[in-house]
Amino acid sequence: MALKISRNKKHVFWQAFFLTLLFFSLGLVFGVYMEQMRNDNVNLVFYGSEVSLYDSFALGKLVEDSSVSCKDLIDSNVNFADKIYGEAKELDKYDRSTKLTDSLRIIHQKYDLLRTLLWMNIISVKEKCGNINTVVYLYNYKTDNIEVQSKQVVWGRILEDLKDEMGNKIILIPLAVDQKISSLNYLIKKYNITEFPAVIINEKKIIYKQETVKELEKNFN
Amino acid sequence: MPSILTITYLFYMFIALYFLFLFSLTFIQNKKEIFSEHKTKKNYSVSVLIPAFNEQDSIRGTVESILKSDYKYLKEIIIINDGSKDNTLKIAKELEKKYSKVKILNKKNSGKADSLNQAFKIAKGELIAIVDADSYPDANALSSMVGFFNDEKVGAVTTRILVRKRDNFLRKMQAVEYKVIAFTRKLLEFLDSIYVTPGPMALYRKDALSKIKGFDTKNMTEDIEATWHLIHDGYKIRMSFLSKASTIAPDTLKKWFVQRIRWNIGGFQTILKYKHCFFRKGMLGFFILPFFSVSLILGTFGLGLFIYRFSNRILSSYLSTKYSIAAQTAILTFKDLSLNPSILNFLGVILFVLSLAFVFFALRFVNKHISERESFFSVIFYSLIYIMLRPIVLIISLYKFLRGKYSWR
Repeated sequence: MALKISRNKKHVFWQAFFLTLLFFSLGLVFGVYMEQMRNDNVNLVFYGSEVSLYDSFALGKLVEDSSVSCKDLIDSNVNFADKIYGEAKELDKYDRSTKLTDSLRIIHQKYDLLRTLLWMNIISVKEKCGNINTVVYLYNYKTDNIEVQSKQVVWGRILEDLKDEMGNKIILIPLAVDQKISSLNYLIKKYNITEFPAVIINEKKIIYKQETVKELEKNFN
Repeated sequence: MPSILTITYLFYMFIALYFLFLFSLTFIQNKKEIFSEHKTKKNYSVSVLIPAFNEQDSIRGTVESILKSDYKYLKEIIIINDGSKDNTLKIAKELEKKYSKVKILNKKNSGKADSLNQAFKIAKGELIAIVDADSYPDANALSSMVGFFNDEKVGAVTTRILVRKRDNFLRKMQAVEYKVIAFTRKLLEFLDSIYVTPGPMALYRKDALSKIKGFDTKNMTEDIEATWHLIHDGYKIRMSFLSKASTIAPDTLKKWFVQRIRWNIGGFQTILKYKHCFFRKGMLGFFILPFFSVSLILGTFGLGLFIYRFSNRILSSYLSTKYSIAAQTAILTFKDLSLNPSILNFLGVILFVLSLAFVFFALRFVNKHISERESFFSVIFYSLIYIMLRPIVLIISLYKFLRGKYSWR
């Protein structure tokens, strides 16, 4: 009897360990699968956006052609910007719930590159077709600084309200500055931006201190 | 690669899940044994020791409940008046006059452990029962416990300790807690890992107590230390689930804190005393000591993490609100609510549901033979809020322990 108890005693510790390991592994596999599924969905949307951007680029190349008007070019960029702005908001939601895998961070980086390309495209379209209202929001993707995080949360809300208020009259381009994108780093250097978060309006005005939506609207009158 | 925070959460979940499975499997494998009766082969004589300090309100009830015992070989009841300043001695004398088995050991105040050691020297029984002066053992408590001593290696036996008066919310919480503890303690018996024979009711083999030279007077929880000492010396500890002793639990948060701090500090003292047994000396070194120490580290670190995250969240909310007001924008938006649960949320919910199921099951099991029930609200509050107080007490206890500022009362 004593021997039986002793054996059982020893076994139950291992049994519990292996059961926990099994349950835990299943949980992790499920977690990775869930995150991967979300990433696959985001990736599919991303490919669509990529096509739209190349299309805008192609239109830009045809600007000398009389059949392509500046209006077509501007509309194409505005539509594309709106599309990826909406996608960015979706991506943000997934971002907060991704814990195990890294792939969403890479998708985020790809989106930031896409938006940098968009910004560059708009700058070149502006040279050909005149003014398009742009609001470029530069922020930190990975920051542990609570003050910066809080400022970014509020900037996000202000710019979302501005976009809701002004609709197609402005192009809103949020860009994470810490994603190691060389072209973006070059643009940041070019506009002499020293701290983040920062908002660039029409490549002319740089705002560091938060303003109300009404104050921001005045920049576009 | 997951962040350090995610890995920490997963680690905590793994540990919690492990113990949940360990207890569940132990229950499944031993459920038939839980209520098994151990009939005694020998008529052991029993001396009951009741240490008392200012116990005028409860001492009479305690003595009379012991006198109602159905065990025939109850030799004596020794009331140890530990320098009480109230009417404890007067009541004890009345009881001594009225009942032939009641004796008094009157002494200057020197603490519970020393009181027990002095009484132990004059006790004549082969078994020594220790009953707190505010506890009330069932009539069958002694008879259901004595049978375990058929095994010569058994050094001490405990029983279910439950809360007597459930007249306020704090006591209702403790009633839930004591029942869950009673259930898990019985399961620990099957792993030879009962780590305490609590003061409200414990029965010791006199020879075993002599071998360990009685109770450690420097320890704040002489019952934990004595149990570890017995296990260290090769004795087994057993628990009778057929009987119970009810005890009066603290009725205010302040008293509760004082009691829990004493328990924790006693725990720290005991860990330090037996630290040389880590991964040696059977279950003491391979389970009890690591279990205690890991609980201490995880509890302390977990609370630290919680406070850090919570204060960050508060600071972040404060700053966002401040900036939002300045920028005349919404303080809270629908977007702030995350509708995409992460794997940590899923695992956390599963773990909580499993833990809750365990608590409900333990209560149902313990309540099987007593006419008590807990309200659903009490159990939920216990599982969500009351349990959170434990790490707070742990931190305060650790602070007091490290500063060396503690006393029995």
